[in-house]
Amino acid sequence: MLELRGISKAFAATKVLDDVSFVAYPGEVHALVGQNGAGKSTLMKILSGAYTADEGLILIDGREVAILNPRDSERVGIGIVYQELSLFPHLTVAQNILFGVEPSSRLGFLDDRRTVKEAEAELKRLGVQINPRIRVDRLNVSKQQVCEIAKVMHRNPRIIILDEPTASLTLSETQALFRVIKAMKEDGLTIIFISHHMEEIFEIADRCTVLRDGKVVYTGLVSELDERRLAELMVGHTIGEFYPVRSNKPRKEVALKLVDFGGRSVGPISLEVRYGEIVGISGLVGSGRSELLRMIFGADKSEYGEMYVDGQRVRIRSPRDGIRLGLALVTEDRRVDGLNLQMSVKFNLNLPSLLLGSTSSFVGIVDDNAERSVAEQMSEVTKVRCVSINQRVWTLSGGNQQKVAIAKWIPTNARIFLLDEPTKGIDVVSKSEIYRTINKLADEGNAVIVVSSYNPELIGLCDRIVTMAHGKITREFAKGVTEAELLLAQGQ
Amino acid sequence: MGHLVSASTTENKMGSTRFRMSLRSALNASLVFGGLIALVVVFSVLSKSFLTFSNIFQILQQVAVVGILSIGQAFVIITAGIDMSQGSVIDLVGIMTGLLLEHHYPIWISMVAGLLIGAATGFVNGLLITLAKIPPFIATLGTMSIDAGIALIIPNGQPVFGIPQSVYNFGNGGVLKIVPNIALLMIVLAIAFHFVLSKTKFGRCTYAVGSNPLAARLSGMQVNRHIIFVYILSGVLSAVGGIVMLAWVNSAMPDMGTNYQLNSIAAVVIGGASLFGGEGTVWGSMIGALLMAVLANGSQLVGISSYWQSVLLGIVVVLAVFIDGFRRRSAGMNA
Repeated sequence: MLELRGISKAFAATKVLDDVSFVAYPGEVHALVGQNGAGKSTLMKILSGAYTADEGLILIDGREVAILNPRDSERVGIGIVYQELSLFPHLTVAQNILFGVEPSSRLGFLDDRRTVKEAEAELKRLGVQINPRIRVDRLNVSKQQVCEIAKVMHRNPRIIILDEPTASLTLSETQALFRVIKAMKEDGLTIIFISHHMEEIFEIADRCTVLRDGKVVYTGLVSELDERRLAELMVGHTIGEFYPVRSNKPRKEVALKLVDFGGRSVGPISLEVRYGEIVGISGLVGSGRSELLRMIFGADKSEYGEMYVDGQRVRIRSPRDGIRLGLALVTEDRRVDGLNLQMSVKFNLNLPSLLLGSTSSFVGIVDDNAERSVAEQMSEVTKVRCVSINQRVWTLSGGNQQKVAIAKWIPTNARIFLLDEPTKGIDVVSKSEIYRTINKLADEGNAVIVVSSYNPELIGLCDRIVTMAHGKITREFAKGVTEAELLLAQGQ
Repeated sequence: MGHLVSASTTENKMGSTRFRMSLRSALNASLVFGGLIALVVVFSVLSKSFLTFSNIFQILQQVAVVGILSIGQAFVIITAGIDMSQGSVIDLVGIMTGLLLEHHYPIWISMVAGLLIGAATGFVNGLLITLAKIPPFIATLGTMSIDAGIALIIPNGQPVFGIPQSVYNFGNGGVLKIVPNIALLMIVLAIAFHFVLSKTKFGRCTYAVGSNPLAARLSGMQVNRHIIFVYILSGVLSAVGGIVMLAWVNSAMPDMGTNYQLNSIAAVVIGGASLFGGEGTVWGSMIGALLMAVLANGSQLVGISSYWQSVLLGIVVVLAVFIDGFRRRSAGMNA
């Protein structure tokens, strides 16, 4: 039995966990639920020994325990299966499961036979059939996840924490994982299941604790809740003037139209976006929203369906085609494929325009003055705070980097902006500045699609929101939709 | 209100940072150049024959081939690649162009053939790197060995003589007995490609591909095609180096260019390039090449043995890269 009593944790002035108490019993699956930033991961880090609580007690089977480091956590019987797998891809399943505790023979050599046998026993206990001699990288993600669980189980924990274990799994893989969880439950373990997929919580969890802004807002039986009530518990704060008031109405002309459009993991999708309109796509990571944007832009290949820009049927095979048709893509992670970080602000702001030749002569000679004035103008319009436009982008703050990642598309005269998580992980001031930029883009008549995991942002920003799950659009909402409604639609 | 006040203090802070940053970058950009000047001063004090017309002529002759190679190597290194095949291209082009000349083919045909060999090697390098996805070091190591082998097979390991007088005259003549023709060629090429790198789409694309190929692609660049072009450029410039060497030494040895790429890589890196890509200039690479030539020539004149010269050169390369890395971490500016 795991009991938390009055756990609090603050970073500087912000209280991330505030007097959190709940009990999880043996033989139960206890869901820990909450939106991003609710405090789930901080709580988990306290249980894993990565952080220590400022106040409060952790009790296991009624006895107070001190968890000061990961070793303590393991010693008191807590096992954690993280979202990111920590397996060694080129070692075998058995070698991974017994990693660090490999049985050795009397002479000190590793005993391969016993390693395999113990791994086999562990997998059997979980009720799965995986050949322990096979290399881990030859398994699919869900089987890798099971290996990860077996690895944690081998340390004989009494409490096991699963951190969003279904994030990267398909539906049938999720079902297989649930069978494993049920087997562990029958073994009498206490299972803490972290998730924000509603339907999973109702399927697998016996009881749940809902966190919101670091506080426990509900702890008790899942059966006493319905989906709507749970969604309402997770949400809870109103949106102020943080989001700019939409200053224009969408026009009549359709900018982008998709008809049964899709590819390997996404689709078929049908969607229309008008000029002057901001359409939000709400969905969880892995729902196919980023893939959809990348396919529209030509970064990834679409495999079927039709796409129309300005009513003309178009075929986009590469980002070059996309840019020429007036599309712009701000990617999910600016550091990976959004920016040339070691180059200057000026360089980045002019890069996509190079293709179109607006700053260069027909033989390919670049006009330095034109580039400079573009860069100065764009950094002013989007409020990039930099010492000079020759400053390297990596020296800017995350928020200012993100402004560059968006601003670089404005001089291409793009008319359709695809923004993937445009404000992820940046400071609040930059956020509101980016919201203003997005609103302005629409006001100037551009079509904008915004993908975000953060529903209040979409509600505050968009004219219309569609929800995506498992590669498909599940529902569409007009302005005025509530977070609870969106959360419900995402889960389906 | 509070927002406005804090904005204006930020402005002030930025003003002073801007001054410090520009000062620092001005100082550091010329650090290698300063080192070059210092070497010249030291050697001219230590040896009377260092700062003479004939010696300057000789240094410039010595720098020409490495200088021309460094131009191509600079483009390659900026794309986060490396071209190990340059030296072998010199070998093969020298032999082939030499043989054609020996058999009295017109000079222009012999040279075009040489340039095509360089281009072909570069093209193969590019294909191996982009389509076969072989790391640049390994891919060019392969073609290096292949070209070096062919350069030995065709003349059966023998040197090639019989270079026409006019070619020899070009290779050894000079303007006003100060600037050798071959150095002049290097300077013209360097200026031309400095322009290409700093003022054209091709140059922008080179930096974009080197600093983040994924972002470059999403900004509409044809990354693979560009990388292939860059290796072709390096191959052609290496071929030019081979022809220049042929004209200069008046014969072709199957191994005359072997390992020249190590010097061009060193020159580019001394000149401020990063092997991780996205950094480097033609101008810097030229300074790097010149610095190495002056160091070799000067230490010879001062009486340092060639064994010690090698040690010295190694120290210079490591030191230059160390200082440059230090500079980069502190500055964060880009021209």
